[in-house]
Order: sequence, then C-alpha cells, then structure tokens
Amino acid sequence: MLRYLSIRMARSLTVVLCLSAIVFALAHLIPGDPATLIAGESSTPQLRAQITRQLGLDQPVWSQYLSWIGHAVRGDLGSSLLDGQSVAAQVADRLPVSLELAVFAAVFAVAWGIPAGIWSAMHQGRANDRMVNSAAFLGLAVPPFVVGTVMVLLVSTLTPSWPLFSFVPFSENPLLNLQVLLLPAVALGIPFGATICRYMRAAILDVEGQDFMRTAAAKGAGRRRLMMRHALRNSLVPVVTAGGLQLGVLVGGTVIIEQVFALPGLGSLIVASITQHDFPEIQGAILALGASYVVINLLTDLVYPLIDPRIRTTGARRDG
Amino acid sequence: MTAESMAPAATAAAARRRRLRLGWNPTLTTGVCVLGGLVTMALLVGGFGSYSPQDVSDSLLTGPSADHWMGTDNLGRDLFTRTFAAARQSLLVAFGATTLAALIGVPIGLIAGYNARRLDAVLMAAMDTAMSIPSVLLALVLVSVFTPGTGVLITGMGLIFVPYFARIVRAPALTVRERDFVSAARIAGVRTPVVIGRHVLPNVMSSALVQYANTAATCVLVEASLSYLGLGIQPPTPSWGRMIFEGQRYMKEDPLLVIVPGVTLAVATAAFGLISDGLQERLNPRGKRRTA
Repeated sequence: MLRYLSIRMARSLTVVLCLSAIVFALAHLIPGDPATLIAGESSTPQLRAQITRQLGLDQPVWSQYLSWIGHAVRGDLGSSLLDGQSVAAQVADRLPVSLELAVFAAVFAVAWGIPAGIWSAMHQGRANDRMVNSAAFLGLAVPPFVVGTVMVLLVSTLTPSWPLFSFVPFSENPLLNLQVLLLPAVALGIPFGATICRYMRAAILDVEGQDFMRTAAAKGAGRRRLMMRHALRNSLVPVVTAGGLQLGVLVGGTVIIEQVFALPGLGSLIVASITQHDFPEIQGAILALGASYVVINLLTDLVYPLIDPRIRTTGARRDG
Repeated sequence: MTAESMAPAATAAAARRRRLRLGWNPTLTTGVCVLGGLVTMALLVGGFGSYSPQDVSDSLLTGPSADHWMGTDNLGRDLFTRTFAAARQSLLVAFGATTLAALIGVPIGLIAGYNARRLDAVLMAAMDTAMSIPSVLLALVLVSVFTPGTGVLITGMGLIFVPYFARIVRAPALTVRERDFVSAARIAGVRTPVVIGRHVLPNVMSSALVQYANTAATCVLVEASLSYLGLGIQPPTPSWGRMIFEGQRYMKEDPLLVIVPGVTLAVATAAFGLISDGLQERLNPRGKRRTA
C-alpha cells in the first residue's frame, strides 16, 4: 500500500514539475524582450535594464527557473502585467469556482453514466441498449460548448427568470449558486457521463462471461444481487481508469464552459490573460489548473486500492 | 428443433460471421460515407460555390431562402457557404494534426515496444508524463506564445497527440516482438529497422488506425473549442467555433446561426466516432469499445 502510494505521489510530482517547466519556458518563448513588454516601447534603456535586473532576467535560465518555482511553491506567482495585482490572489479567488464546476459536472456524469451503462449491459442487444448507446454516442459527438449555447438559448426563451450569467458564491447563497452552476455542469457532464457509460457497459459485459459470475448464478444469486455485488465491483477498475484519463478533458472543458456561461473561474482568467498577453497571469493560472488536475488524478488513484484489494498488496495497477 | 429449422439458422449465423470478417460493417460504412460527404461539400462549396465565405451583403439575418439556403449572418454572409468553408479548415486541422501525430508517435511506439527494457521505460515515462497534462491546457500554452492560425494548430496539436499514438502502438509491438516470425527474421540476419518496418508495423496498423479516427475527432473538438475562445482559427477565415461564438448574440433572432455550425461540427465528430467504432467492431467483434 505504501509502495503504491509513493509511486503515485512521485509520478504526480514529476508531472507538476514538467508542467511548471513548460509554463516557465513560455515566458522565454515569447518573441521580444519581457522588460520592453512590461515598461512599454517608449521606455528608457535604464528603466528596462532595471526591470531586467529586478526580474532576474540577467541570471542564467536554470537559476531563474529555480527562483520562479521557489516562489511558486511559497504561493508567490508574481503580479499581473496589466494591473499589478497578485496573480496568486486572483488564482485563489477563481480556482474554487472551476473546481466546484468540475466536481458538480463529474457528479452529474457519474450519476447518469454508471446506471445507464449497467442498464444498457443488462439489456444487451435489445432496443433499450441501442437507445442508451446512441444517446451516449451523441453525447460524445456534440461538444459541451454547443450544448451550453443551445441551453442558454432555450432557457432564456422558455424561462427568462432562470439565473444566467450571474455567478453567486456558494457561501453567499448556496441554493442560487447550485442553480447557476446546474446548466454548465450538465453541459460538461454529458460527454463525460457518455464515456463512463460506454466503459461501464463494456466492463460489465466483460465480467459477465467470467467463471465467478456463473458460480454466483449457480449458487442462486438473483439478477440484482449478481449485478450489484459481483459484476459492479469487478468492472469498476477499468471504468475508474477511463474516467481518470477523461478528467483531463473535463478540466479542459471547464475553460470553455466558463466562457459560455460567463463564470468567474480559472478558465476565463486564462482566456482573458492570453488575449491580453499577460504572461505572469497565464503562467500562474495554467500552473494552478494543471496542478489541481494532477491532485484530482492522485485522488482517483487512491480509489483503486479501495475497489481492488490486490493493488493494496502488490502496488501494481491492473489497467483495463 | 427439426433439421429443417436449424439449417437456415446455421447459414444465417455463418453469413453473419462472414460479414463480420469480410467487410459489410454498417457502422464503418456510415462513418466513411458521412465523412466523405462532408469532405466533398467542403471542397465544392469552398471552391465553386456562388458566394465566397467572406462576401458581405445587405440582406442581414434573413433566415432560409432560395438565395441563401440557410440564411445569412449579422454581416449578410451566406451561412451555408461559411459552414462548409469552415469544414475545410476543421478537416484540414484534424487530418493534418493527426497525420503529424501518427508519423511521429507510431515510430516512437514501435521503437519502445520492440526494444523493450530500458529505452521502453524511458520513452513511455516521457509519454505518460506528457499525457498527464490536459491537452487543452497544452494547446492554450501554445496559442499564448504563437499567433494562432491553421499552421500553429496543426503543428501544436500534432505534437500534443504524439504520446497517444506511441502508447497505443507500443502494446501490440511488445507482443509481436515475441512471435516466432519476428525471431525468425532476426535470426535470418534481417536488420532491425527492416524487421520493425516489415514485420512489426503491419501488426500494429489496426490499433493505429482506430487511434487515428479517435484523435481526428478530438482534434475537431479542440480546434472548435479554441476557435470559439478566439484562440484558434482567426477571422475572417470561417471556423465552426467562431461562427457559434458570433452567432450567439443573434441566436434569438436566428437560431440557425448557432445550430447549423453546431450540428455540422457534431456530424463531423460523429463520423470519426463511427469510423473508430466500426474499425473496433471489426477488430474485436466481442463488442468491447474504447473512447478518447
């Protein structure tokens, strides 16, 4: 168990370090001199030299990276080029919105994906199965931002009183907060749930053919007990693996969905800072979103030993 | 059951088996036909249509008419023409990026799988790390540095999806490596690149093909998403994502502005999805499916 945990932790740390290196390299890939970018074209050479020294741009690249990552670890992500505000404060302000959206969407996805997958597997080859399959297929084909846009159109025509584009924090008004996030979460949860549904169906069909299922049936276990106690638990491992891989798509989806519904999350911060070329803010926001994705992934890794006791002893993950 | 009633059942089963093996595969056929239709439309409308996608006119937001089959947008541009001109961009990015990813990823996967041991471990660790970062985030990093456009999207997304091909190809390469015909070739003194090219590559092609369809679908979605955010294909070149974004403001007057590009976009991803599912059905008739 300890071995399993340490492998997973080391892996996550590597990923965050790589992402930080990519994000750091970003500032060095921009054509032009950052000091000129900050001080403006008409600034004096002295001012630019001073900024260069202040930012440590005269240091070798690796020592710049170390100092940047050192500050980042201590929660200092620099300040915005535009308004001088602390990037870390901005990120801390917006991260909860994105996380809440992602969690809400994931809950919705699991809530419809897993039962739909099981139901579809239980009716394999029949009309019900085909219906669920087609729905899941459609859910995967239509991108969330199209679903979101159509939702906005429908809701604004049918029920004009529904709160759109007006975010309220959970701490202020929990009910209104959930109401505002419902549509974005559904739009985001449709394709994610569709993936879960398809994997769930395939995994159940896979397990159904195995010996222990026949044994359980022979011992007189009913259809429901067979499904819930024997098939479900054994088919969850590949579903969690697939779901974990798809979480990245979910995190990427929040960036776009936040834009559709004008939610003040990290995604809209990233998009705004990219259009304004505010590099410290792009770096900080992308690093924060990527790091939170890695943490979420680590948490799903912790789910495996709970589902499959074999992982607890060997430390190996049985995928697929 | 009598002998007479069993005979047709047996032939039907045999016919079904033959169909599975030999080709008639409705999922795959539908996917290929839809995609083919889309490509044809993209080429015809983009090339020989009676309007150019940038032509503005005085008839704004007209709705469907004989002149403008799907109406016009807020600048009086023909929606039908623009939708399929956008298809051109989208498919160009999808095929371009996916082909690039396959051209780099498949060799990496082959080398990793065939050599096994240390090189495999190093390459796969690198690929896993790259795959652990959400692709949309990587794409955002990219467009924040380079001016977005078709070329940047193709190269960038091509590189981002390299690990997916390497991963998918490595597994079958690893098993083929242990097969007798590969050992025989090696013992006969065939050089390693030739062994990989002639004996291993054909055995991983089917996995790579499924991945190709999946990645192309993802590319269509990522391109549309980035263009929606204004970070993908730049106006005035039409793209589905940007058309949806621009149509949003006028969608109460004319919902077609959002629905037409949205549906076409969905049809494109669905076509790739059908191709992927169809290929998998043929490769693995037990009905196991994979997505992403």
